Amino acid sequence: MKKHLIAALLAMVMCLAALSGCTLVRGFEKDVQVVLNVNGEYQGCYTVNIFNNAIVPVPEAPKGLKFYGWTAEENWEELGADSVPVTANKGLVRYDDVKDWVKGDELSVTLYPVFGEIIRHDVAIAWYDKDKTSGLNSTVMEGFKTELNAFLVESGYNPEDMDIVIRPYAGNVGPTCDAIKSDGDIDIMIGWSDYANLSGTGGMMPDEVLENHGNILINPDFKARYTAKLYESETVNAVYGWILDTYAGEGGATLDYKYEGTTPEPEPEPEPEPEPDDQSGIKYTIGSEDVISLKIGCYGLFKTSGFSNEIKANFEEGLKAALKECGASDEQLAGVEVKFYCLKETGGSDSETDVSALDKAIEADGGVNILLGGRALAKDKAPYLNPLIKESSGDMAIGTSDNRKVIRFTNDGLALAVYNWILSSEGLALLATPAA
Amino acid sequence: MYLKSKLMKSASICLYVFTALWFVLAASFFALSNNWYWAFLIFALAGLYDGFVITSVRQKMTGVKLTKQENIKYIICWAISIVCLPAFILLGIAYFRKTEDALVVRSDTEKSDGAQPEAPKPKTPFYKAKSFITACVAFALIFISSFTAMCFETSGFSVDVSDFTLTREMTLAYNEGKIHGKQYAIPLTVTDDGKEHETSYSVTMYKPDSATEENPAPVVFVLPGFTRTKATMSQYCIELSRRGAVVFCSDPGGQGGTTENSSTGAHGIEYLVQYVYNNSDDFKFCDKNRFGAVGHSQGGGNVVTLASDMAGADYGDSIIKSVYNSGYIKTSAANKFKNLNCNAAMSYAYYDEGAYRYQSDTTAFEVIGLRFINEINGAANSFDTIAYDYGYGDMSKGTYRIVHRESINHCFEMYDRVSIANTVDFFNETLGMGSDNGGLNQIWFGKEFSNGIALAAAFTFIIALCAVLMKIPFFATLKNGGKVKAAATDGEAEVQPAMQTVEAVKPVVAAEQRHKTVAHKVIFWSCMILTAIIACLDYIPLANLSIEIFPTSNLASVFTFTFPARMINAILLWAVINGLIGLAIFFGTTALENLYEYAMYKVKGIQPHYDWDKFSDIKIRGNGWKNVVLNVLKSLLLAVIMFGVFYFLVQLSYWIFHQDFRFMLISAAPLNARMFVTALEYIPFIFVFYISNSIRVNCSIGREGWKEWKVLLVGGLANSLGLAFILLINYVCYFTTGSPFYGNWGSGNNEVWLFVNMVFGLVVMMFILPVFNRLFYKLTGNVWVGAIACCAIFVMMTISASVSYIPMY
Repeated sequence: MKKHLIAALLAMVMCLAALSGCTLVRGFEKDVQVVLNVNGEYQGCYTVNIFNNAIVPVPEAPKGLKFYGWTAEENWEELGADSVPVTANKGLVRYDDVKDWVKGDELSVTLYPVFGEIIRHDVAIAWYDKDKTSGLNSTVMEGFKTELNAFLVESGYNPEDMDIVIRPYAGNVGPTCDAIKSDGDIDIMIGWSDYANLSGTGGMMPDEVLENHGNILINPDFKARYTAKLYESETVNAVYGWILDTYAGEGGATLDYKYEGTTPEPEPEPEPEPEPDDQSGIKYTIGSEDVISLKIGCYGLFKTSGFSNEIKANFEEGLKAALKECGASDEQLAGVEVKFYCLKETGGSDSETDVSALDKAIEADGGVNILLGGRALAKDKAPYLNPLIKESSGDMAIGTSDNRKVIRFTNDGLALAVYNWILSSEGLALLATPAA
Repeated sequence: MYLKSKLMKSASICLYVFTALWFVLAASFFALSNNWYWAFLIFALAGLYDGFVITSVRQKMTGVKLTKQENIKYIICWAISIVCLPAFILLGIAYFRKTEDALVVRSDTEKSDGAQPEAPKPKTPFYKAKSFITACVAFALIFISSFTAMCFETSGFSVDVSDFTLTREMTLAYNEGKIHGKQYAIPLTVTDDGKEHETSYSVTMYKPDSATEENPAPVVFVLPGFTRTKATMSQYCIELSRRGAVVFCSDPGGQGGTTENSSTGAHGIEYLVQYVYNNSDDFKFCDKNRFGAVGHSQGGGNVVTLASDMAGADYGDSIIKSVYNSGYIKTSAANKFKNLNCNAAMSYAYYDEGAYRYQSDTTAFEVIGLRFINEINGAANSFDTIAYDYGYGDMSKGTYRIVHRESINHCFEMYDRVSIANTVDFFNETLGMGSDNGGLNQIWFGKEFSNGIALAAAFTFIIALCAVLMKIPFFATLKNGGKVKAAATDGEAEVQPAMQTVEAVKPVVAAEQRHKTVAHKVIFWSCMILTAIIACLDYIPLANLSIEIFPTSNLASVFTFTFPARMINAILLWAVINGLIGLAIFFGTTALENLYEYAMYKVKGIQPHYDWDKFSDIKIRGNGWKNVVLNVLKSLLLAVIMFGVFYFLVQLSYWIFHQDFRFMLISAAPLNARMFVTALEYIPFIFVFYISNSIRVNCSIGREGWKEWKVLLVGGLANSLGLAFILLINYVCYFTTGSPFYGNWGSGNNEVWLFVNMVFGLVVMMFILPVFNRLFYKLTGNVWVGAIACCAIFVMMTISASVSYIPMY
């Protein structure tokens, strides 16, 4: 009994010791004071430890140079900007950055900014490594690189003697643009979006982007994206021009932004976000000689798709009216078709109207440009349609359903323009249940 | 006892203590990736084996002077004991002890446990039986503590706590489910076969009596984080509701009682907010102009999304007037700060293990914190440092910001008194709750403690129930193999022969136990240490493997019937692998030891002492195969009864008192179909570990001839130390470098730090498991009942407290 009591007492004491020992862990946190010295001037003192970092001001780099980071080497200029160890970040100093630089038992370390030349390459291309957004991945870029080399050879260059960099940037627009600015050596960007996005979300300044063009299909199986030129040189201009010529979608590359103090009228481009805008009419011009072929499929399982005969009729009427305003004649409108697939006005789904049936019906009919009222077209259920998807909206309201999608399967200009128009408030209004 | 012997005994104890310390040091250096850990490992083993040899020499001593052979052993051990300085000194003193003591030598046989056969117990009526009384007391304790917990939860019955299920229909019932023209109705879930399913969210509402139609109260929506259920956030609900707020707490997608699997949007909280906001019939006691939201971890990110989406044009238009983000600093949330039109608070634990991921110019906590106080819609601040616990901005304009850093880690932040106080004080001020009750004045722990008592009582109850049931002739055959069945005529009498049969085994076993040689001890303890080391080192690699090989992997959007509990897949692999290793070691070492006996017999003619009896308790007893089959089924039935009774108690407690059984990260929640079906998938596999443990505790540790408390202690430590050392390694590294040892792992660079968080609860359960296995074994006479019952209950508990992406609607 006595032993049990002693054991229990011992256990309690150990638990208490362990709990109180947690406060002792503070002893492991060695504080280091980081003093910043920029051009001989004291810039501030910050405290870091293993759990606390310090945000520090990023010094402005002299023209033509870039800021590499902070170093504890006062005579870094003699050693060379490329040779000295620098902090991992520029605006953030961590304990891990400075722990090896603290001498002996000293409690502070002085850091100096390291500026170095921007190492330029013959051509440095940044690609947006987020394939669900840009359609670009290492396989696609391998193909791009091969074609680039072929172009350079044709143009009289020798790629093997050139310093060509094709660098991925993973993450969202903000961090990737930050990284590109930080690296400072990128000449061309591919896979990002329009200039509004680069400047707004990406934080790019007007003079950091020289040109931006849209309707670029590096991955032909994906939607069109943009390419931007950040630097001028003979080689860069040649490569940029080649990209515009080779990878432009139907209708050619569209100029979105050019830096010369003026910004051209932005042309409408497909957006990944499904929010409807205030677009009025279809942004497309139909010439009198143009042959129109546009097939819009509607999922005929009413209970699921939200459709009704009325809604389809309204939509078709509105679409044709809008196309007429683009210049289409009645003869040309004969090439526009809006039709139901798997029509079933009442009841639930079955094998004749489910997703697989829809897929087969559309395939049998030779495909469509746009599908309304569908949703998940998973590969195993829609083996025909799934690989053809170019763009899919977010959840939209069609009639009684609020989670339907507008899905585009072709990249031609008319389909693109009609797709955008459907997503506008004008188009969406036609897909609502008509007032009684 | 000779003084020399006493000194030697003290020295051996010192050696064992130092063994433990060397192991801790080895783990610490391993955590720091310092190869010196090998040296400490060797010191530990040297100390341990040295202790065995010293004990062996001491036991063979007949006088102060040792024989030549023993003397040589002693000197060698003395030299090795340098790894433990106290032992070295004691052995040195003992070595030079040459004179006899006048003390009486006590015979070791007087101390042997279980050598005396026990006298038959007198017959007692069943209601006086210890097991029955224990069961009654435990049953009463469950209800008393659940009632007490209810008192705390309802703040002395001043808060009405009720559950409801939020359905799609409900979210479409008012204003077409829209807020600011955007619809927030639970969408239909369309499976790959094109079928549509309705899903729902499980919600608990806390309504204080002070909230009435005449005096509507502010409302706070509480959202737990990944793998947590709403019950784990009850502390926020209690403290906010007792200060006058109406609180709604929901289970996120894939967790708890919610049937929706998706984690898109704000994880379902947006549907609940819309429903409460638009519902003009049922929530008149809610002040629609004073809505707040708080979430922890992933829940914190979700409430920022919620407040951002429902921000409206300005503060007056914003649905959420106050938002509290606890423990979430991803840039995806930070990008929404500028969209908020409400007062906001953010807290991030000072010792948050996940911070190692955020160490760049754009992701570090300091950077996110600065964005939090600078990027305020309508106010462009340019602060370059953050003052923690300092309120920036203007509450009346919805531009108030405050940042906290509590001295706690990630998974315990929501149980931290200061963190809860910060949350409560924030809403008290920003929503005008008007409470004078300071944030640090908290009562939620009363509920937690009471629920913990109920949990312990429930386990006690089922053990006692098992003892009661074992007295029934139907189940008594499990112990006696059916021998007394023919003689069964009345009550207690039929029990006696069975009990005597089993009790009689004890002295027989004790008598037949061969002398525990140093070699046996070395093998026994080495196996123990080896399995603990393996269990420690393979947990995270197996967790990483689970990410690679299971369909759910790291993708919240993969809904599958195949092992859908993403986090439990790691435990599954660990349990199977380590269970099999345990069985292999048990059977392997027994076979090797017996082989050694045989070899010694053949070579030296030494009488062999085989120990095949170890396997006897693995077999289900029975006279003939029919009885064996019957007893197998009875074992299963008994285990099922234990499981059923346990969860019936949970359900009963929930129905009557709205309480389940839990203590922080360990919980037993009422069953729901999704989690039950999920558990059924895992139990057969994880059972390998449980039966392995039961066999090792009862057929190996339990046969060492130790006192029962030592068997339980060694069993508990052996089963949990490996996991405890994971925590030791992880946190030694964390507190010395700022990064956890187990942060990312493998070539895929998978995040594994959350799997370490799970170990906190697992360590406790793995310590208790051998105790239960031992108790059930002693009651039933076989190793199976306890293993089955414990496996079913523990796995069910673990899965109910985690996430499952099973597509059941």
